[in-house]
Amino acid sequence: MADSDANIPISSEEYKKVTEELYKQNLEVVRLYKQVENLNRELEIANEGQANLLHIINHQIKGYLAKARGIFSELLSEPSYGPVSLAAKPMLEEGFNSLTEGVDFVTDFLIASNIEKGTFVYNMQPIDFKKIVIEVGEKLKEAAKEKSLSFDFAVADGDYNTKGDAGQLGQAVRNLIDNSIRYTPAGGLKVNLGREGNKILLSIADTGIGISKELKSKLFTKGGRGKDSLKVNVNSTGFGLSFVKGVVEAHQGRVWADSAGSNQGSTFYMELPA
Amino acid sequence: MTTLDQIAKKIIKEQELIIGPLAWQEAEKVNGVHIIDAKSGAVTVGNGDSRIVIDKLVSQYERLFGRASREVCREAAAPFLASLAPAEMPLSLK
Repeated sequence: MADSDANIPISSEEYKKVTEELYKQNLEVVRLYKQVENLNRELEIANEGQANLLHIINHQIKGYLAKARGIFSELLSEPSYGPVSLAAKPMLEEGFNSLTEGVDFVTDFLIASNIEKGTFVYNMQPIDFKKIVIEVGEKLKEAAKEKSLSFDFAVADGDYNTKGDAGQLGQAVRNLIDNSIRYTPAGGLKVNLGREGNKILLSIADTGIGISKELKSKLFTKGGRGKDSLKVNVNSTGFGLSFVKGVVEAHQGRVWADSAGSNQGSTFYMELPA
Repeated sequence: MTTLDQIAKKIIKEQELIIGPLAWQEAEKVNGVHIIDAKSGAVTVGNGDSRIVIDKLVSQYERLFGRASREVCREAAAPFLASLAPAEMPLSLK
């Protein structure tokens, strides 16, 4: 039946009708495509505007915080203001420390935003990545201990010399380990540093809340935190892992995560060229 | 590049979005349309009255694809029409 249908010649009118119909359908697709393109363009402009606004606001906030921190610092250290009473000193110190944290937080945010925009200028120098990881690991071991988490730290023998921005790579390693500590309510972490061929591989395996399938695709994007993230980590900004990705990729490396799913732990990997 | 050259180029480019490279093949068949480089979209119209060449180009597409294609040509040419004197305006685009 199908064969005999196929052999029936179609008239030129029918042929024209089909051609015109196909043309109309293609035209509709092109119009829809143009609409999507326009919407994308508008979205890009809106996103850029929002990012610029955030940047300006953060610069202003940083200015206010730094000024307030300066006042606390002066009161604590400048003799011309007279001696600080014993009762007031802890309060002033608390204020100074809190404002220092605030300035650091906003500075990190501004750096992360510049990294994402691709406008950050890295200070590329010969570095020993092992030294960076050990320094960060030693500091964060305490944070793990405070949460009663185990913290195994293993560094394989080898050469970990590479070229990079020590400050930003250190912050990226800190973000990864800190992220695992924050999202691990019980159990612990295993941090491993090793060499694989001409690559340096850092892995952080935890027994934490894991990564759902839905979250996996947006984990390293700006604001890409899980829906229950704030329940576990009230300080989550959603920028930490996006910052890591920006830094690592600027060093021609890659970062990724594996997890069997929610509540099954996660392993984060950072790979850098040696 | 004259305004009518620009109109021809825009019409072919718009048709290309819908029917692909066939748009250039069909344009080439029109007497008076000279395709210098399809990739860069370099086109001139000549051989007598350029207005009539544009009309022929529009008809070439309409003959194959119907009225919808004429509307596409009109929409494509619309931004250029204001700069044409009434005497220069191709009838198919009025």
